[in-house]
Amino acid sequence: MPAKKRVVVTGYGMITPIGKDSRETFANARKGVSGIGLLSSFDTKGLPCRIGGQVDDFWLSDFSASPACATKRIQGIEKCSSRGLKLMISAVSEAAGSACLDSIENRDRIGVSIGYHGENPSIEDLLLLYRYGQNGVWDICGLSKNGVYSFFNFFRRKPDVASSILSILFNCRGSSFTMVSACAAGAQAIGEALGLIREGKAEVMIAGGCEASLDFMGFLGFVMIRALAERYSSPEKASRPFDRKRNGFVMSEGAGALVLESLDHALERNAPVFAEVLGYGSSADAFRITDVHPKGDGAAFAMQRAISDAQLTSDDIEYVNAHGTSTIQNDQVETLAIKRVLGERATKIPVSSNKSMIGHPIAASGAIEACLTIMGMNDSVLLPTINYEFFDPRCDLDYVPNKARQLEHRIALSNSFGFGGQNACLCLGKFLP
Amino acid sequence: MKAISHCPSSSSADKVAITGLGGVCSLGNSIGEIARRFMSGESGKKQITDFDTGEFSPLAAQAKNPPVIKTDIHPELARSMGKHLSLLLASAGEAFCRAGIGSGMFDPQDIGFFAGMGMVDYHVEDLLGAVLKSMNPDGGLDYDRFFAVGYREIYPLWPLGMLNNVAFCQVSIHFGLQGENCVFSPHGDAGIQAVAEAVNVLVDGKAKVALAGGVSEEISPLSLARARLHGLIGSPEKKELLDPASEIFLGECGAMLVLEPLSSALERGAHILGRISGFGFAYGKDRERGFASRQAICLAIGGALCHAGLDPGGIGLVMTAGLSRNELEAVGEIFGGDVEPPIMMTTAKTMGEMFAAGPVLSAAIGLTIPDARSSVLSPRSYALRPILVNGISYEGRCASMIVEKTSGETL
Repeated sequence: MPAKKRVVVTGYGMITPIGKDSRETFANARKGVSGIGLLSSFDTKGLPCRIGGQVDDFWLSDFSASPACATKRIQGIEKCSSRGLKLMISAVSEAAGSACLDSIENRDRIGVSIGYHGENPSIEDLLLLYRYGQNGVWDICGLSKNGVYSFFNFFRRKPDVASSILSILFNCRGSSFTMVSACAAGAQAIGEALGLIREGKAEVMIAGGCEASLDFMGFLGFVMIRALAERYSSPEKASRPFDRKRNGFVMSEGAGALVLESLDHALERNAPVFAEVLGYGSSADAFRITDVHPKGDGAAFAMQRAISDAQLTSDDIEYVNAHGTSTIQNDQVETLAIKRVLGERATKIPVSSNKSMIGHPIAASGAIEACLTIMGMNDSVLLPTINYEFFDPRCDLDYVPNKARQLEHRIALSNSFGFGGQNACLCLGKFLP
Repeated sequence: MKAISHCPSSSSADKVAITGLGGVCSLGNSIGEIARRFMSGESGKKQITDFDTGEFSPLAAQAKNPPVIKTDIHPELARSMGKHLSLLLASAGEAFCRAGIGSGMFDPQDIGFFAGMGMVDYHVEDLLGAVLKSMNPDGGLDYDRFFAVGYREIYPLWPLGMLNNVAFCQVSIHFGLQGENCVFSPHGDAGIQAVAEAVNVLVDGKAKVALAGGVSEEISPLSLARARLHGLIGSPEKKELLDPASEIFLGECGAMLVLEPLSSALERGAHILGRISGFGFAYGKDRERGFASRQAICLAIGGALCHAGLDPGGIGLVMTAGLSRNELEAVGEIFGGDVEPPIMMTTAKTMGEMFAAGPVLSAAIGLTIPDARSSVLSPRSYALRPILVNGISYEGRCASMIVEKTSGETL
């Protein structure tokens, strides 16, 4: 098999419920800090779940003054940027800074690949439905005349706006695209960027994902399909992947970004190299929209593809950063899938879930978890699965319970399984020149 | 003619064959019918009668009667997915059928699926009940009431219809597609991205066959309002268009290709309809006119020509996105000059702006029209010469793809 072009990570950044940047997030994750609390972003009265992982508004307060926004002076950027995009700009600013992205002259060879779904309709949108659609027929004439529905509402709803604005802000003139594959979107965005660089279509890609759905309509969707944790003694204890008392996921928000680059290009410009993206695999359950495949077919297939794409075998895997949502179904099936892929070694390989601390930031999760996996490899630290208290016989792997563990490891898988049955897996490696 | 600077041709893409085409739009429910009616100059633009368009443009090219494909999807859920689902199902079904691929021919894990999905919008009637149930006597929304009671009026699976990937996943379920996959969104460039990713996966050996293409938005009050506020469509009274030279109307469409490695397609005796030769992508927004800038479009076209190892003179037909003057200027810059310019066509003027489906349908038509024996192309037939297809987004993204018609029997 011909050797594939090597693709490395030359920058990363994130903003999460437990940190304004990657350093703070990693430090808190290492300590097992939970970012889950009672939601303040909207009135949760009457809802069966009232918790989530919010990013501190203060961390976004100087959004418009950030170097990327200030230098470009894009008219109305504050208005046209959704909260998700603001989070993404924060994460990309950090990643671009660490990768010294500004120093690259040929901007035609830099692209952007983002997992993002756009902003949800708001309660105010629903009010408009009442005013201009009382009989089930929407009076768009009246709506248009009054100008009550802003252009920016439409703009913020569009998924491609995030990658387009990032392309402008960071002066990237290469490929720019948006993935909309739910919880797998962030990982798929990184996987697609990997393919583009390998293929020679780009030298550098900003890749990642963002999510900010802690508003009533965004939250309501998951309440209605009964996917969220509804029984918890305290918010911090609600996200408990692989624990027998888990009963749903905890929604959160955040953003993660990587700068991927061909190794040759990175070495030529003396860029810092933090890790290597070794492989990527995706799959579909093709089972049911609301249920994962009970035998973990899709999850196992994505992992096997990522390992194969990395030209490795399952014996090479030393750590798995699990999707680990804290739902009864996912954690059980993911455990099964890991066993199918790693075989007898499965019980000896540490597996942990960052979502126990940061919750589930949907389209951002794959990117944030990839960043944390890389930082863990470089610091020889396995981040813990917190709130692991009660053994579930159907989840019987080593989940690095409650406390971070010091362990040298060089090759890891990072899983992301999307709602609807789309699965993605990244194979990440410590950089070895 | 602009000289395209030398670049290494990957030559990998031309190993991928197109063995199936499928399409549903305002001009018909099959690629053959659409191509025939397109070449005879028919337009799918009609008055919208499903809802009151108010002061927005009342014209659009809707796919009025997409084929009904029986699925086991709950009817309410299928309704919430709207035409995304029916357009995707029907075009995928036709593409598989034309490729001669039936159930059990391939391991489901060897079938990749890649699509560009147009925007999904909520249906007013899905939410209105919740609002009406939550009004206070003075006509305002009683938030307490909404949170406590109103929201229960909403169909529980309504949120699924809001996710761009749900109709895609439903099609995976229907056809049993378990291989590599990805969903891009929402404009013309997304459809080309999807085809490009399918080609990469096939070349890498990660799938043995792939379904790739795109779906438009469903035309609704929200989609019209969005297009109007973007300055894409005018109104009978006001003409405040982003680019006055390019007034457009919206169109509905699903368009899919079946792709296979050329060698294995030949081995199984598949009819080879065409080949994928190259792709190019770029970003650059024209802040005055909107859409992608002329330079970015040139870069995308140039990238596709390089990837295909072609000079501009090698292109026989250009299927433009037909959305902006910048594209025409870019095409003029690249193809103008001392050689016979390629034939240029656009589907946008007769079938509307079809978002992610547009360039895929254009490619399918380009591969089909010689069979339609239209007099329009005679005597300057482009047959067996490569076709360049452009996809352009409102936000500045652009993509180009080159496909080649092949004479299947002689391969």
